[in-house]
Amino acid sequence: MVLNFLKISLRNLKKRLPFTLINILGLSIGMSCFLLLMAYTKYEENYDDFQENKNQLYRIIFERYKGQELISVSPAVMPALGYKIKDEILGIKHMSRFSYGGGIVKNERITAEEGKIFYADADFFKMFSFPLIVGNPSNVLESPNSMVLTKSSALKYFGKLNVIGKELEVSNEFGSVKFNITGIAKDLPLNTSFNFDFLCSYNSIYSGQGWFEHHWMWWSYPTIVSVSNTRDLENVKKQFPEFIKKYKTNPIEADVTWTFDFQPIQDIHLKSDFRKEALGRDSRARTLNLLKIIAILILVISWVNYINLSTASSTERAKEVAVRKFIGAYRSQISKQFLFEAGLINCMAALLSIGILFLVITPFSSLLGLDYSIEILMQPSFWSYLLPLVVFGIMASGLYPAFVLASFKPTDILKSKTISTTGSNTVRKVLVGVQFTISIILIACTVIMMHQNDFMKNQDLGVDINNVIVIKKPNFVEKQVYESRLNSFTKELQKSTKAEYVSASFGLPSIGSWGLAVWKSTEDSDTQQVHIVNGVDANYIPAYDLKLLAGRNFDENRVADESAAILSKKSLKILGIDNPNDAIDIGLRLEIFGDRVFHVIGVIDDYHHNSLKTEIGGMVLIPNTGYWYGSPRFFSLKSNGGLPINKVLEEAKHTYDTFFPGDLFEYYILKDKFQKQYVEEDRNQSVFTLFSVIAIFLACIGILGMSSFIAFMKMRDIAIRKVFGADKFVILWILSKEFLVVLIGASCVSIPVAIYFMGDWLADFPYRVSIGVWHFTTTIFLIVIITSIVIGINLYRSLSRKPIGVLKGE
Amino acid sequence: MIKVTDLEKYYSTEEIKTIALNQFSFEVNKGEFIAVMGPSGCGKSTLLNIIGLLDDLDGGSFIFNGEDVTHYNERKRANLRKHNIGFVFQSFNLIDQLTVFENVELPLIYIGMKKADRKKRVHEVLEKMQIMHRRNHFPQQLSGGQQQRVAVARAVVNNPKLILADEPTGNLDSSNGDEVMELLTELNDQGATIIMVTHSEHDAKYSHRIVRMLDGQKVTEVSLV
Ligand SMILES: Nc1ncnc2c1ncn2[C@@H]1O[C@H](COP(=O)(O)OP(=O)(O)O)[C@@H](O)[C@H]1O
Ligand SMILES: [Mg+2]
Repeated sequence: MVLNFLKISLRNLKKRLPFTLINILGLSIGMSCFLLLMAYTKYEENYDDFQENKNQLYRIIFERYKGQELISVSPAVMPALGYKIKDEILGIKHMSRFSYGGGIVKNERITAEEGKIFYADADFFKMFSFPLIVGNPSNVLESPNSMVLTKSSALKYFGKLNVIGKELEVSNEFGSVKFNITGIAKDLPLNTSFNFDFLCSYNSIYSGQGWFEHHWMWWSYPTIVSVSNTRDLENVKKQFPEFIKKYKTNPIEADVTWTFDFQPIQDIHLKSDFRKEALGRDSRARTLNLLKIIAILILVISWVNYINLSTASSTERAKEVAVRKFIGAYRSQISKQFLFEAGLINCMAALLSIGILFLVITPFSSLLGLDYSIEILMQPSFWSYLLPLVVFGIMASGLYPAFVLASFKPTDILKSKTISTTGSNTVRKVLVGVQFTISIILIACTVIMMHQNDFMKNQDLGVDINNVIVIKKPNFVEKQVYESRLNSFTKELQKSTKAEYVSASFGLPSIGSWGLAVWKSTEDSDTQQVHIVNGVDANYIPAYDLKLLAGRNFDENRVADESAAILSKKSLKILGIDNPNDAIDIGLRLEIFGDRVFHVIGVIDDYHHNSLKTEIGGMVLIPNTGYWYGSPRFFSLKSNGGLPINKVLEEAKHTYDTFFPGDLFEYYILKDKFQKQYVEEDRNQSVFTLFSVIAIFLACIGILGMSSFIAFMKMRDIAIRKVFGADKFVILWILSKEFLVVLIGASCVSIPVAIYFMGDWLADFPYRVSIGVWHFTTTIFLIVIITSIVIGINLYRSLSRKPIGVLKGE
Repeated sequence: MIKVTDLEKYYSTEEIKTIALNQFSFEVNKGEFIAVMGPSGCGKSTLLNIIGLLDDLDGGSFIFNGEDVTHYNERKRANLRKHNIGFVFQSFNLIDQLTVFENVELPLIYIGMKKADRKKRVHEVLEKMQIMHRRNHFPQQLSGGQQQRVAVARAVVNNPKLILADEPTGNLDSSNGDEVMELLTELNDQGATIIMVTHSEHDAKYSHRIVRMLDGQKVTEVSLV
């Protein structure tokens, strides 16, 4: 019987080859999308699943409350906590910081910027399952200035693995330090939150400096602990109130309550929604959920297609069913035949989709900006999705057609050429309606997303970031030497590149600066609120075309300007000053600047220092010299178009090399850098666009099915109308009416859904577009155009048949 | 062999209720060859469908081979059908996706005959219908007369006790039509009971008895032997 099924199925599929191909293609596209998105989300959700101690490792989260109000949450804690916790809290087995460094790495062969430099304690390799190729896990990070690097990094810098005892120099915020290589780790799996290329011993930071080890008011160090089991964790938690009481001694924190929480390390990747996330990237859980929904929707569309096409073609199959029945086939035998066909098509589609997956995985991961690609297809969990998907697919797509086809009454079919299956026509309308609904939702979301992204990118920022090239400060030069050459370098840079302005500053648009508490010198420090404080020179305001509302710019020739400050309008508001002119000459105090009072000399208009995803905050500009804590980190070259950009870069590099020979010349175009802040939004937009296109493509197949069916059903009707002279287009209209009904129904369902979702999505943006009627008219217009084309071509073809042929039953 | 009493069959479409069979009774003995005649729409096909166990009845009773099949469910009817009844239609109703051989083989598959036996039997029948040389062709590749011969072959392949033919010559020219009538007569001579619907007085002459219908009722019955 099975062989007979197979033979007949294959022949059937071959006979209706276009139908079969469309069906397999549609299904396999749906399956590929589903598998791809599921595999990807699974991969993201399985971060650090390979750690043997995954259930015993926790990151410490620090929370501060004022009364009931949570005033800060931080996934990073104070340096002192790690030093004390192991000795003073019972049940803590191991402890390691995992603190970001970054910076420039250098040896005789290579100098390069590296993103994945971290600092960790000696316990690190006892806690995590990162095998070492060379080195003893229990002591590689014991002494100051030791370093473990991955195999690839070793090969990159040395070209070989025999590098124990060799040195690498790292330059970053902790200074320029030579590290001694003590171990080599196997390259890490990419789905870990502890993804390092270089791991330096933690005691290299402020090595041996007591103030650091006892610092309780500076929380910047992610700290991981391991416990033996969950019961121990409860014990550990019980000891914390005592512990906190002992160390929370600073009077500033008197009315603040501290708590420490323990976050399982597997939650770090997706369930970290802290403002100050230092490990891993932004929380992507929301995006992942969105992708899962899309995956399921696309799969549903493709199943609906199968149902649609199969029942549509059932009119062709009806005769076969009838004949089989009068010969004595049981209904179940006929159902089995159709289920078997569904199975065959699903299996072929599954095979094809695996092929598609391996083809698209690389473009897909670059679209999403992932570091990995093929890895996600190598997970066992990915393959375990396949079988249920096929089985469920056969059920979802095959059962209904099999049922419908098997239930045809043979006497009805054999009597006439057409069958009246009004019931299944309603079902078909509903099915196509579902496809329309999903398509409209996806397209509408895409349209709104595009609008919002476009709005953010093209909004007037209040600051001119065009034609600005930013050069980073040198890394390996001594601080004193750098500062002594700063002025002449800036001047020379301007001369050689013919720039309009060159400004040396600590931060600049899109690059943060210190967030510091600021208050009026006449008032109590209680009134402090955080402003962005940026150290700049006199060229900063003209270079960025910031608008002065009152007062004046810095003046290099006035010595008193060393403690001058310029405020933004928003800062005034925070400080409670209404009129810009009233701000001039008032005194300000800044956190970490001790007793120094800055006097306000000017007020600038607000501008978007960061992307439009963040609200404009208070901004205080102070001179980058004198009492400033950090030297300028960037040189902004504002050109007036005098020299072409490559020439500017050439000259800038030349100047840089003469002032700081042997250092790494790094630059970027500010506008690009600024727009890169929207990378997540761009990515979401691409993903939505992609899947909307796929959805609408698949829906077109469904529409094709439905229009063929309608044309078939009304063939006689149309033929007769034509005999009596009806216009082709009148007939086209009669047929298209059905789709209009479906479209209207789908719009009624999908528009509220889209409004709900996008309203929610937009709510995250402080500066946003409002959802308007045109978003939906655009969407529906698009769908109408696309479907009209599909239906038009399909129906026109069948309408062009000679009426007499149809009536004769050809 | 067949005894129907007071058969009733209605079709209700929207508001109109059509009476397709109205108090129809008749009997067919084993080995008989019956022709059913009457104007279009008088209920001939309906009658055949009911006798062929393809349709259920709305009133009356139906005895088939001594069994009361009036209230049989679909599965039981299918079972009875595949062992006992062969159909021939005006429009042949061959499955386009299957070859001549496979079309004829189909009923044997459903009664669960072994493959080797099936092949033997199908060849035997194709031989008899003189269509053997066309066994690997698909229906569209055959002429009308040939298609009908295949349809007859399919109808008789499982040695049915009853052959039902609904205007078997309706789509054929007269020489092809006569050929089919010869075939049916031959089958009848070999013991098959035949009920045939026809519009042609010429074809009806091949039968033993002519039943004439009007508006779902039997009008006359004329015996030719
Ligand atoms: N499926 C059906 N639905 C509604 N009416 C039907 C159906 N089948 C047959 N009829 C009606 O029943 C009557 C008898 O039909 P039929 O047995 O096909 O006639 P004949 O074969 O004698 O031409 C006709 O009036 C026909 O319109
Ligand atoms: Mg008829």
